Amino acid sequence: MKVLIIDDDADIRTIARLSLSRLGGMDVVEAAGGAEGLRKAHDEKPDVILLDVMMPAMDGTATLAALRSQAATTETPVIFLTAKIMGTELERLKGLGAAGVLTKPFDPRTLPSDVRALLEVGLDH
Amino acid sequence: VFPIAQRSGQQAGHTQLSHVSNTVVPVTGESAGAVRNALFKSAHFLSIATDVKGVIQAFNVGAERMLGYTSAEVLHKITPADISEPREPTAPAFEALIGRASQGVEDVYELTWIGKDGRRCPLLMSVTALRDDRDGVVGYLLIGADRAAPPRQELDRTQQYLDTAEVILLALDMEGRITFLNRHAYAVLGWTGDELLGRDWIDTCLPARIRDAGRKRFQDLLAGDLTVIENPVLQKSGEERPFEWHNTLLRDEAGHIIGTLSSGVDITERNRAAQALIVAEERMRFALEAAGVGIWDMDYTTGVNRWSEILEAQYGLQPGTFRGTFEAFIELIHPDDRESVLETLGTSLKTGADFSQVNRSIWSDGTVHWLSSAGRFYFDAHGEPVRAVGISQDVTQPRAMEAAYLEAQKAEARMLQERNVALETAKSTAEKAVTRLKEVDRFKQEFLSTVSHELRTPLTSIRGSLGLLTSGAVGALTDEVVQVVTIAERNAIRLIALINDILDLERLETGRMELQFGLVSVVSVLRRAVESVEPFARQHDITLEARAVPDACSMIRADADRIVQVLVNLLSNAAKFSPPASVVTITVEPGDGWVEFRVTDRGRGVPAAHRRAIFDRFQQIETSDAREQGGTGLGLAISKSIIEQHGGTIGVESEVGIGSTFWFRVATPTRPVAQRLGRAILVCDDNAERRLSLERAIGDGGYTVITVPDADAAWAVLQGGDVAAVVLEGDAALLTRIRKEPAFEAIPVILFGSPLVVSPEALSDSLVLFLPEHVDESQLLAAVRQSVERGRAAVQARYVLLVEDDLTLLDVMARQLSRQGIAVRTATTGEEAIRVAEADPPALMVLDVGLPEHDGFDVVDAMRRRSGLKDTPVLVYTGRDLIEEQRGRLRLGPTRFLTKSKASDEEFRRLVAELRQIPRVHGVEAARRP
Repeated sequence: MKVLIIDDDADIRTIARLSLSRLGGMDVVEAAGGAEGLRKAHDEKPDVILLDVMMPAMDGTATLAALRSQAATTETPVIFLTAKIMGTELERLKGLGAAGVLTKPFDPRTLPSDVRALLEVGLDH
Repeated sequence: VFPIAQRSGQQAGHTQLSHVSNTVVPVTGESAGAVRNALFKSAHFLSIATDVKGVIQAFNVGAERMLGYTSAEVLHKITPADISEPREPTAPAFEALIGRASQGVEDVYELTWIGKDGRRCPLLMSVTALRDDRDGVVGYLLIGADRAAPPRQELDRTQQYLDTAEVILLALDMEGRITFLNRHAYAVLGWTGDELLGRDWIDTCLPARIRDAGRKRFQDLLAGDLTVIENPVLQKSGEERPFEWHNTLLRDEAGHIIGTLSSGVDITERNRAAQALIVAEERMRFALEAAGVGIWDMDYTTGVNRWSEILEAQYGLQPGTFRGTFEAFIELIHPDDRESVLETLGTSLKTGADFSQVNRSIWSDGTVHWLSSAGRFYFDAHGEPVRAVGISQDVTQPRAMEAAYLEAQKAEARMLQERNVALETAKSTAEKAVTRLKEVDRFKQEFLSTVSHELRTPLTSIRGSLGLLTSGAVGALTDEVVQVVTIAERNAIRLIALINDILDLERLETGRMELQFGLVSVVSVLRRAVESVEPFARQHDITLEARAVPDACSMIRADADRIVQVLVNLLSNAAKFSPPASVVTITVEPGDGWVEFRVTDRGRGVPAAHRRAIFDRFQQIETSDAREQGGTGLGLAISKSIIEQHGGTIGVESEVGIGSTFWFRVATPTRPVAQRLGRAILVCDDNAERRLSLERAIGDGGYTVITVPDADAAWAVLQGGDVAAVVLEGDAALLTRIRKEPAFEAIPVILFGSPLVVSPEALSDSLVLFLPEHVDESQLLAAVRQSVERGRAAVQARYVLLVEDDLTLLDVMARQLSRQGIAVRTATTGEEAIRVAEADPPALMVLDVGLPEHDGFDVVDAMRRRSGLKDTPVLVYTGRDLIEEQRGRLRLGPTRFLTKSKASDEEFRRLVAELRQIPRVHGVEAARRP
């Protein structure tokens, strides 16, 4: 399974990458922003994209919209990564068509299984 | 009267003795004798007769009075030497006195004699020689008058005035010759006595041009015309001075006119003042006319009303064409204004107050002009009007109107400004304070939000890194390293929790935590909470035991996530403080409108002193237990805040050494408050026999029947709330009373008797049935059944649907309406509102706009598409300021808008009552229509 992590925080990308690759045995591609993420999503064809919500320039919401409008990534499941948020924001993000929302800080030990669980729920639909 | 002459000059050798030479006035014949006698009898004049040597021969009463000697004392003494104070330097020798008189010239002196008591007697004295038939001097007659103190009391007022005032005093004989002029006259005229006495006054002292008129005037005067006249006098220098003359006639003892006496007042100054007044008036007139102000002047003595040309123009008249009468003025006034003008003038005439008025005038071309005028009446001593003057201005002109308007506006603005200054000051002070507070608050919030976010990002990395380390994903670690790293990770997690808690509490306490209220399954929140705490509990060998939830409290209206948060908090606290292998139980109990959650542990208990404090921030009950280290000290404070935001309560019951129960209550969904329709049929009839038969008949139909004999008893039963329908024997008054009471408005009534006895409202009331006096049992039962059904339907149809996501407000509204006997159902989301309305169309929907799951716009939109709902009256009750376009989108049936912060409770109730009475085209009423 190939995972694309789009997050402007390099530390977070590293932790997520180590967690997903070492503990989850996944292939991980990183992108530091929305634009780079779009390109890599197009080129690498990941199975799932972990997308940070709060990013400078192109934020998570805009990036998701761009991914959806790009033929190669229209169907790619996207999981938002966000800081602890209120119910209304959670509803909004789900309403945008994301496969799920994972809150930061995440537990690197359970991150691979959390991602898989969300994908399974999404596939059931 | 005898001619005298005097001069103010001084003669050498005679201090204070003036000497005036005069032509001889022959004193002869009867006339002279009469004069002598008259003088000698007079008490006003001193008369002393002497022989040629000055020896006193006669001393009259006047002399006695003035000098203080008796006649006997002074007879044969020489005057003035013997009877005058010797030291008096002014006392002349007798020879000096008679010096000229002996030569046939009358001498007149001003001199001072000393009286017997030493009193100084300033005298004006004439000395005349007394002659025998052969013209030989036989003695002298001294005639004197008191200069200083004329016997005022015996002079008339005019003479008094003439003596003292600066007036010309002029005596003329019958021919107009000057017989006397006072000192002032000489000063004015510039002549001397020698030159004027005996001269013709008119020829000498009047300007040539008026001499003829003067002569005629003199004849008129002699004929008795005493009119005051103005005549100039001609000075010796040839100049003229204006004088006003007051005249009187001089008569002899027999009453024959012998001449005139005139007093003349210099009126140069007066004329100058009058002239100045005329000039000033002219200037004023010019100024007024230049300003377009018309002037009028009504002379009541002549009846002439003079108008300025401007005023004439204001009334549309050509200059000089105003007829000049009061009547002519009235005719020019607009007929509708005449009465008020007359009234205004009449009032001013009566009170003497100035008047002002606005009236219209109609010009000959038919145009109407507005005139504003003001004036004043002048009255004589008897209060009769003698004159009225005033001004008038045409206020029709836009410029005048504008000026007046601007002036008024300015005045108003000034007034408002002054009045508002204090208010504004107070307001701005308050506003500044509020603004400052808001700024501080906003800064605090921004700071907290920023800090928490900024803290969380690095903590995410720290926690993730530590997690990776302990997982062994990045390499195997020794046990000791794992132990240390685990400590670091646990504290990182705790720090994150602390930040989250602080943020939560801050949001809750400032009301910024958006609670997502909805219908929440109690079982589901319990399950989520237990699942969340289970691993931690198991870790400490604690069993979490949730008891069965009673049906009565299966649902609550709450924010599910927050209730889970509270339960998690209470459960983890319980787990922390319970001894190992013990059980923490969770029970749910129904209350009156609420559900109570109870979390019971077997811990050490909370000492009574701490029971309140533990809900405060950072209040750890104990710190010795290692398990508590994961806590932030904010859990209970957050829980309390969450429950309070739900309108609920939280508390603890505890027994030290046995355990504690933390409990909280949250509201059950607000249930429709059914209008109290009971099961019983109330029969009100004053006839006992009929009551009995009705009771039996209705009772046979399976209904509970309550019978009462009168309205008051019926009312008492109705208030008991167990009545489904009322059967009345023709008591229309009770029917009206029932309908007026909101709580009973949906109670069906069956009335025996004619519909004619009831009000029109009752006739159109679908819940009132009329039955003829004689019906059989089946007809009666059918009517009762129908009424009861309609009543139930009406209660349902008349409910008010309250759509509001603020539970506190929803509760307040529901209670308010319920108290009025209005049935209520509630919905907290748009979706729920649509569902409820579809299932059972409401009589009125009170709609908030901002709602979760489909807002107010969506609700109206959805209802508009349902034929049964599209005419539903709506009361939009929102905190938002709606623009017209939004209002249009919120309109359904009859729709009103009320702003939450601005509307009073009373206004809300009134609008609800009003709107729900609007008949609907569907439902019960529609079904009833033939």
